[in-house]
Amino acid sequence: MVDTPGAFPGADAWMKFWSDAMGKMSAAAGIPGMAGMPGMSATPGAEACASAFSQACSPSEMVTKMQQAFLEAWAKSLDQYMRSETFLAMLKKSMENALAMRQQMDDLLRKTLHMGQSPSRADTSDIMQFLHSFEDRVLDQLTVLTRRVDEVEAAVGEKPKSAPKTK
Amino acid sequence: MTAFDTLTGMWSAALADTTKQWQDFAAKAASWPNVMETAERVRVAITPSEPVYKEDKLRLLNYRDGVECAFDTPLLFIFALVNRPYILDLKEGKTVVGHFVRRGFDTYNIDWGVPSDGDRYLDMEDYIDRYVHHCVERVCERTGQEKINILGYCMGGSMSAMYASLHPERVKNLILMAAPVDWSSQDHHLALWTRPEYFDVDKFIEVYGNAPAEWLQWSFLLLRPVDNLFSKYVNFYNNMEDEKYLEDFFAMERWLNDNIPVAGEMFRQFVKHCMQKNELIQGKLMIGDRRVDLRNITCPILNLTASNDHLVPCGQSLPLNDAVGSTDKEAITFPAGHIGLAVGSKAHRDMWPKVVEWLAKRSGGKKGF
Repeated sequence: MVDTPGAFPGADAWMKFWSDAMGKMSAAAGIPGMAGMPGMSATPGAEACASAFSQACSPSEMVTKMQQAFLEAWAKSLDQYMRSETFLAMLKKSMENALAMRQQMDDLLRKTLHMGQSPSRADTSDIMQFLHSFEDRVLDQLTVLTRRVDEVEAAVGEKPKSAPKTK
Repeated sequence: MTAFDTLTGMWSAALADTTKQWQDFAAKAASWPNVMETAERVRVAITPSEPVYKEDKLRLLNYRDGVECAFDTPLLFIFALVNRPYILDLKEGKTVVGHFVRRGFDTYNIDWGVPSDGDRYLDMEDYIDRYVHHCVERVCERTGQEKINILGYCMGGSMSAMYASLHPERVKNLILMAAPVDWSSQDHHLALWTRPEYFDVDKFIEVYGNAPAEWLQWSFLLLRPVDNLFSKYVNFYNNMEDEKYLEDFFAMERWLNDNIPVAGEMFRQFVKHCMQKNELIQGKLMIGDRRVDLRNITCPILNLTASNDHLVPCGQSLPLNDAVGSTDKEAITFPAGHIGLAVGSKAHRDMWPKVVEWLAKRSGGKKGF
């Protein structure tokens, strides 16, 4: 979203949200127009307002409708904002900061634990990685062996009991 | 009538209305103990089940509800790795599992278990070609069948499609429910947020190990922040004297706030190869040393999508029907959201009975049924 030159960043989005919210709320309340709001056709006079307020719905119903209209406008505005470059750049920056902080914390904990001769999460993770790749290698070898046994059995005339290759 | 009369009338009405508002508020405050009692009482996972197979943290559950099996071919549910097993068996009247069990399907479900730091290296090959495959083999062994039916939900649906492509000889019918397979469209939040220029999944997994449940949960909440963080509670306040509404509300809250972490390597591969590179639909995805080619799927397919799905838009699921080799394929787009497809009253009344019959026709009934 491009802002009007000279306006503070996000001013246009902010104005658009409020005009949309006020427009929707006034429509929900049955007021024919809002003073100075973009998209509104006329400025309401006292009689127009009174007429709108005196319609069938009670004040609390009207407030509920206005509340709903406000939430709808807010949801729409946030939806657009969360697709904007500004939000995406902010998301990226926050994620980078969160990851950097977490990494610093992990490093500090790891060093502290190592000073006390204790294993850290990173050490456990290394062991798990080793076990996982070890398991892969063993299972690969077993698959090769199964295939060779099948071939041998086929050669001596027995029906092979081949197993599908699974990790 | 003058404007003054109208304004006077308006003030009288406002006064009466304010009094009513205070009375309502007092009634709601008085109903608070009942709200707490309902929150305590609500139970999920209503269909009785027993584990029939265990591997690492995974459990294969078999549902038993005293109904005799009417079909030869059993049914296996596969749901997303971020969820608990009760999501498709939430409560009375909102259980997808219940529809199939009552109709006489021998029904199974995979409970993935909660991954810990030690599970961070479990990858797609482990989940699809090992865990899912072993569960399918176990179900076949128990039932004496060569093939089974699979129903996959959300990410579990993508995994089901991958499995059916790698092992088409084991799948008789495939039902996918809001299952993403094509991430080419970038017009919704999750696709935008996970684009490689904004989300470094390698770094994320390197630092966190597993994808944290809280992080995933907040991402889902932020897809519809106003609905999830405001409107929902306004509705709760307005309906807090309605017992049925409260039961549904707390059951749903249990689902939404009860996510589990996703194993790091699996998450990394899924985000990188599926969401960012869109390899699944293009037939370029590798699981271990095998390529996942969706054209290998030749069994009947029913693809269920929700027209208001904010998590998996229809455009991510429907292309599957053109990518598979099946001739018997159908798609149903139901007017609901991602979760409404599983728990919505309308979906349970109008859609699920049709889905059950679709599967019943293709599952080979036992003699006498």
